[in-house]
Amino acid sequence: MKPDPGRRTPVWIKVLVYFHILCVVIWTLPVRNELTKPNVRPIGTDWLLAMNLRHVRTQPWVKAYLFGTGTWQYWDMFAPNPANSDGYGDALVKFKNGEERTYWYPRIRDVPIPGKLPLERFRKFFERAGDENTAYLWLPFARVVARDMNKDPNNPPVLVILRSHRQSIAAPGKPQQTDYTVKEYFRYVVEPWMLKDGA
Amino acid sequence: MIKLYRTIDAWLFAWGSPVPLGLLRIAVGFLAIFNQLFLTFQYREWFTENGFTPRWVAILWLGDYPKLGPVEVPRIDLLSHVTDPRISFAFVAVTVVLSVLLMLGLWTKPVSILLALGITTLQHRSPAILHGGDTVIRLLVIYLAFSPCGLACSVDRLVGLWKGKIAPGPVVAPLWTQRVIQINLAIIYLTTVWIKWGGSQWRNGQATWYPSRLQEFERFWVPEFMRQFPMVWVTTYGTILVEFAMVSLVFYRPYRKWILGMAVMMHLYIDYSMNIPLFSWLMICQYICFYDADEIRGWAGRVGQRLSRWRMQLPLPDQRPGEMAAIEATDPFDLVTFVPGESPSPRQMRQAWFRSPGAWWLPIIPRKLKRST
Repeated sequence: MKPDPGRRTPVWIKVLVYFHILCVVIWTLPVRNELTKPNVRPIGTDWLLAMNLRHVRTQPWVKAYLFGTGTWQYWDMFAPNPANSDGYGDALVKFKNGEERTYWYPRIRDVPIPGKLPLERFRKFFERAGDENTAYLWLPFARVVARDMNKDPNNPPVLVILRSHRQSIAAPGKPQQTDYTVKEYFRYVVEPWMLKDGA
Repeated sequence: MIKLYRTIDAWLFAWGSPVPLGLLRIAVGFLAIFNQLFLTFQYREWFTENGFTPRWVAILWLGDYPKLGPVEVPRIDLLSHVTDPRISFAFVAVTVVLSVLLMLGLWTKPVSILLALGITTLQHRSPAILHGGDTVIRLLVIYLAFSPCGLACSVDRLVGLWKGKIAPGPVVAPLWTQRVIQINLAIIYLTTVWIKWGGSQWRNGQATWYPSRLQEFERFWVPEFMRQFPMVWVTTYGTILVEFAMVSLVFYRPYRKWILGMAVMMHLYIDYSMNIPLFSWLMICQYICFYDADEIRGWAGRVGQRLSRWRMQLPLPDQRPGEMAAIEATDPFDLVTFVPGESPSPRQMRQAWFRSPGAWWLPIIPRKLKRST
């Protein structure tokens, strides 16, 4: 593409474009937490990452610009290593009369192919909601389960137990695990007010 | 150093035809329709106070607003005080309509700005559910909002031609948004390949062993040998090589089509075998930005040459210049020549419909067909 000598891009646009590219590069360069420690001496390209982490990425204008404009981004698909455990979630619900039922949360493996794409967000949410670091997602998760299972006003749910089912993927040449390990990671005693309409 | 800067500057801020941006706009609009439709059907789960992600979850997830000195810089979030589920539903549904309009290129500038605001708002309203495809689509609609993507391959252009407000022929516009999209794409691959190279499984050639066994990602059937060695080595190191080439060699024109071809194959395989919504398609459609309008026109011309035995003439009455320019602008392969005459017969119309989109919209212009025998 030949530049058209009769047309010039305004300087302020040029400055903004260079600034934008600089911010995106600063924000997306790999983050290795060990490099933030001052006693760690980086080697090779890690030196660049360490400089970025310690001195540049922490500058408030980088975050302010990227989050203010909505152009924040991070790219770590299957990196640094792909996940080596499979997992899905469900919930065990106990009712006032003592009955127990399992709440079906979309499990992508069992969903017919046309439904897999639209329901992928549920898998993504569970991937994050099953993490200790984001435990604040557990309460709204359990509340949705309680509301969805509240079909009979005379027999409301009284306890919701969120469960994760995990299976490790063994390394090549090692026997693959066939069973899933079930873990109850959150117990929610249902608040009666929460089941009322408009709550 | 100054020479290098001038070379980069001339490339980054070149002017030219926005046809690649127009085509990218169509592809992004098309994919955004699906993405936003999925969200519309799930608005209760993700955008209401009784769903999995009430407002306070977003606030905890994204943290405090970044500060510049004493000033807080807010995030784009038009739903920041909205708790009424009807408004949330309407908001998500409107983004579907805007995606359709973006694809068509109708009122492109305001539509692309509104869609950028809409999608960014939704992602800031419910960040705990975002996947890679969401991030790509957000960035693309923001870049398109700043671009002249409505000047080509759009209803806006056809209307302008029709009314005689736009002169027929190539349009010239600044292409820095196209370059920024190319650079951002390269950054995606650079970051990914850099982080991967820090992982032991990518280095020892075993990385793709694991995702191919994740049942929650399974999509279509994959032959067993693709999940075993030596194909695991091939796909692991192949991914690293292709991603690195997408940062480097792809900018060298003689290698470009081969690198892009390999990247397309990589993404198509990922899309076929794994349930990762829209990400591969969004990545592939950005490859249009590596071509300029002359190359795309040249390709369309070559395709038209190969299909030359399908060329035909279609008689049309009342050929006003602007209208004809608009009709011909929708005939990319130049397979139908519109000549003055009486109205075409139904058989001629059927033949033309299969050859040129230019003939698709003749039935909605009664004047063009009214004088039929």
